[in-house]
Amino acid sequence: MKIQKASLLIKILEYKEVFLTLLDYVNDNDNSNDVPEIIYLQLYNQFIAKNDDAEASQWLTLESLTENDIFVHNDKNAGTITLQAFLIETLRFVDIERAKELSSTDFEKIREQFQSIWESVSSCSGIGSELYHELMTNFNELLTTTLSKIKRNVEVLTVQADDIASKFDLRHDHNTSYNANELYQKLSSLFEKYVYPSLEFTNPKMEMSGYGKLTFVQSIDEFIQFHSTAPKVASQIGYKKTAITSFYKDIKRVLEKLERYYRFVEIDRENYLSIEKAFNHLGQEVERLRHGKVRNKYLTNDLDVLNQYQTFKNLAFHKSKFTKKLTWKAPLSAIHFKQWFEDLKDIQIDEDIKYDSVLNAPCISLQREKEIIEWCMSHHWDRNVDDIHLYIQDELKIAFPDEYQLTDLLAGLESFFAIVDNHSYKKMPKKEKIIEGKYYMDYLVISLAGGGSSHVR
Amino acid sequence: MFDKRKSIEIYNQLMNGKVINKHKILNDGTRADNALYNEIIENLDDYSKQYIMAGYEFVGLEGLPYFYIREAGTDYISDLDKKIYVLLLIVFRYVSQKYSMDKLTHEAGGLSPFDLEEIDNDESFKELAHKAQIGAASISKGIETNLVNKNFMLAKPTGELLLGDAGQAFLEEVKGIYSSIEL
Repeated sequence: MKIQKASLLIKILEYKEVFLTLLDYVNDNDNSNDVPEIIYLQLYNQFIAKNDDAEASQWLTLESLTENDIFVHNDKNAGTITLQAFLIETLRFVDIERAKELSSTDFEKIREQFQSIWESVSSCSGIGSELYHELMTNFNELLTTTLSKIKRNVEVLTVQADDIASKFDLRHDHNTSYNANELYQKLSSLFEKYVYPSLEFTNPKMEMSGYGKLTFVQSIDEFIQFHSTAPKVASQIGYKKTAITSFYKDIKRVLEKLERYYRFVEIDRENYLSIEKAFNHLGQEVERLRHGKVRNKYLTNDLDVLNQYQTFKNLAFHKSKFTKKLTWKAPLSAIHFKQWFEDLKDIQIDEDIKYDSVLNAPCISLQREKEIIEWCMSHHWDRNVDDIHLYIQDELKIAFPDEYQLTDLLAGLESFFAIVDNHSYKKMPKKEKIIEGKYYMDYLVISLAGGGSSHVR
Repeated sequence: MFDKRKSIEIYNQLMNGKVINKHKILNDGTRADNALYNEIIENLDDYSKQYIMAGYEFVGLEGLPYFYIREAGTDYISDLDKKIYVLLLIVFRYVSQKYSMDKLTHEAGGLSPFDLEEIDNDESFKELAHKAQIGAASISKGIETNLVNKNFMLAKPTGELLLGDAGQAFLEEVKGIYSSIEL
């Protein structure tokens, strides 16, 4: 059943969500206009057939749309339908978010078209010929189409930049998924495939091009130059050129916006990749365990993948160890030396000396004996002494501080007993030992109690 | 002069294998200076000498934003280190796949109970935790025991977990090592 095109288009736009879904499939699949038949049939059953709209149910069937050239081909073998190109364009026009950016290939096609027309115009017989008019008609049509395409492209790029911005904003919402790697890939693709070619195409000062190629701007300038004798035509072409190149600034703004996000996303992506590598590195060790390539069942502490980290090492629950606290395993330091020095002071050094009896000591000199006797005779002794040997030794050490020897005590005792009444002292059954220098003397304690010579107090 | 009450708390934390971070999280969820860290800094000689003379190495003297102790002359990986490193890497991996790493450091972020549940349900994480002998009933429990209790992660009053200074230092170390390595 043939249906009037305008009415059919209105009906299609009434159910545009169905057809936009088809457009999404086209956009996601390399832009060939083929869509699996089953997708449309499911959409038809879900959104069109269930409605009470009898007209839509009849007009929008697969057969009807194929018959009316909305689907230009229905491949029964492949199970696909091919969408009319203008339908795609219309849907993209209707929904800016689904519109496609112009790629470098698209720009190259446009550039080639301009160059081709220019080469034909420049080689034709001149202004006024039939061929010239025909070529200029094509030229003006191409110029207008290009203007609308460029304008549309700027809108699409702006939408894409806004989309990137909204995805980037998820970065600050810590509960919503944000994948830096995906965003980075999308940004890179947008830059390389769409933004830079757009800038290049609309750049009014763009002079570089491939060998033998004219840029879009150069081609237009050739046209303007060619029409120097027809200023009205030249200025009309000039206005169109300015209209197209004026979008350069808009694209530049989009570029600057994207570049701001790019810097942040690039850092996030580097972090993402670093952590991915660190995790995979550890994963390699787990994989070795998984396939029984090594003896251990678990990750061991000596693995390089763990030992490379320096943030902390040998953290432990020290309270549970009860180990000796002063282990001194650390490298030697000034603290060790100080501690050693302090320890040294506390150590009492006992020399290994073999003491001999004072009776074996060399005899005291006569001169020394005389000095001691004279000192004893002139000294005032106490009348009550507990231990005469110790007492006399102490007194002699005071009297002869630098030169006292144990043999002096023998001389002192001899003099002391000579001047003390033997009834005044009393022997005790208690044995003591005096060590002085290399000699010792064993003795029984003798105490003194009152009486004695005039020298004794 | 050192503060007796703080020195006891410092002793308990260090002897229990915890790190003392430069910052802590306040009740309103913001970060602020950690009084224990400042106590050490203000009496650095006393504290370092105390632990060094007890046979420990007092780590952090070289200007780290955290302190911890280990037995002198034993800078090798312990069982606890292994668990902490592996758990932190699991947390980093989970966050980097779904979010910006700011989630672990920004005061508005933090690992939520939902995130912990997702980590618990991930098979690759489960296998790794098993191979590292984390030993807890679940990875989230292991995170609580080994990361939160040891101060590598700090809990906000609302429950989300943020990296402490030591945890952040490890994140920076991982990024530093692997930004230039091709595996």
